[in-house]
Amino acid sequence: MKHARVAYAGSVHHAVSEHGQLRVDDGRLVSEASVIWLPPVVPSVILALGLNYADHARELSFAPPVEPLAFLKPRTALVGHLGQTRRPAGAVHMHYECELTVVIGKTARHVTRRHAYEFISGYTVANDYAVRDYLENYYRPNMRAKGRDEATPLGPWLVDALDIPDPMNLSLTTTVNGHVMQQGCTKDMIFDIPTLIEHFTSFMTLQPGDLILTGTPEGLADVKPGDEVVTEIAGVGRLANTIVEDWRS
Amino acid sequence: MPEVLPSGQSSPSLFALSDWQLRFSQREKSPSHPAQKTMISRRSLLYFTRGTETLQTTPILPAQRAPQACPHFAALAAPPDICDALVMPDAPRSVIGVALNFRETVHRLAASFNAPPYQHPPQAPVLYLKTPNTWINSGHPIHCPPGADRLRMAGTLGVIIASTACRVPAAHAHAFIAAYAVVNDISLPHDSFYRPALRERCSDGFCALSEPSPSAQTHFEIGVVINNVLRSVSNTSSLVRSISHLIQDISEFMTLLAGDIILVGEPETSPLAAPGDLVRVEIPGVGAIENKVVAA
Repeated sequence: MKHARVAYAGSVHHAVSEHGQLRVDDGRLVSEASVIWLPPVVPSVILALGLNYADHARELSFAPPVEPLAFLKPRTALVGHLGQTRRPAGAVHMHYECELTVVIGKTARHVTRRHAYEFISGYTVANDYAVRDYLENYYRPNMRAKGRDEATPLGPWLVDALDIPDPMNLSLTTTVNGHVMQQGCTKDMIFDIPTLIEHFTSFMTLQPGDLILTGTPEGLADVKPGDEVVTEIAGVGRLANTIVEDWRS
Repeated sequence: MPEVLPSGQSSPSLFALSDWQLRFSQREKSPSHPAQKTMISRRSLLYFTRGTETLQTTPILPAQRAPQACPHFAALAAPPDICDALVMPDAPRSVIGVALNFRETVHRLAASFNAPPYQHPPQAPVLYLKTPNTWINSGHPIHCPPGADRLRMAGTLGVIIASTACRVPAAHAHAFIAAYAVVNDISLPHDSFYRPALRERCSDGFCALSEPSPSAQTHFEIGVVINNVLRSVSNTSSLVRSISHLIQDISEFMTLLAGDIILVGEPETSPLAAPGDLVRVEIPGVGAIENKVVAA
């Protein structure tokens, strides 16, 4: 089943996909075009992976990491499907990153690889924009480059884990204005999902709704105001976002 | 030393509540009071723009502290959102730490900033998050993870944000402060600031927080006492970026919400503690917390 969080007719609802429409939790069947899409989950922890695909690490001239390189995002970083992301005034290079996102389903502490999938409620798509102008070599990738307001589109769906039999073999595609820019497959992750869950929960307890953005393959390019960026993962969802001008120069 | 919490106190209390907070909490209990209606209606005002939610706040209390010079920011600086900002520590919030923000530390490391891997001195504040799994109250044990024999105890000041703060100039930042907290920002000792220090900073129970306390002070003295021996004294007058400049520089790219907490920095003299040690952090005029380090 595919779940969404939407604003419809003046209030926030949980909804599920039903024959191309949305069944809202109060029973109404409404069109997808009639809602505002919100991030499908409200996490308290947003973990993201850097350099988790070997081709992407090469692209950025880094040796692949020997243990997961993870950073955190604030809750204000998320924005829903069909949302807008601001390109900061004066920025020279801002790029998208299509990422399979794991949603934790139950309290997870000291979870082993073998049992990791039992702690996943489902999957969604993230676009982990980076503004490279602000990268510094202190806690890199730093929050000013990666934790910016509304610069991490998420959604449209939370897809139940049962509906994704092999999350380690999904194709990822990013298009900009309809042109394919980035292609990859989740089988090329350096640290797979069970390894990541075992690693993180060895020292931090994760809660239902917490997110792990699992990294991105190669194929990065600069995006400009007006560009429509679509990050899509087979079976999980097609997440669209528009780059807009900064409203303060 | 000033008034402090009794040793080991961890339950929420009226400690350090100011007059206006007390008045408000009494109002909340009275169903007929108009303030409660205002509060309920305020909480229902959700706005949606471009797929994000904004809780639109309307004033309950007079905006006495709003600055006069800039009408735009004076209007934006809503009074402290008491219900959301001051429920410690479990309300949804971001707790944001700032590394390399005491002058003594920056002086010690200055020579290394121009060498690999850093290449240049930091331009923006060096930030990290303390995730909810790290939050504990005073009195709760600090678990020393397996494989570690010492933990760094950075006594610091937490600045609690009053209302939505987006791109706030430093000159108006104080209108966005609801209260302060005493914080023990715990970490596994580490020397490198190159990669995000997730395990070092975000292991379970690595952030002890006091009850919130309003304060009119402009500078705060921070003491760390281990087993009744004073081990560190620092003062926020030594910050590289002042509290106002932290609010400005962080809210430039990351909107701060009511209840978010900025930890102003790790004092250079932050001591280490081992299992068995009783660690007390005190900030005169704000409060104190006390936690015992135990083996995991």
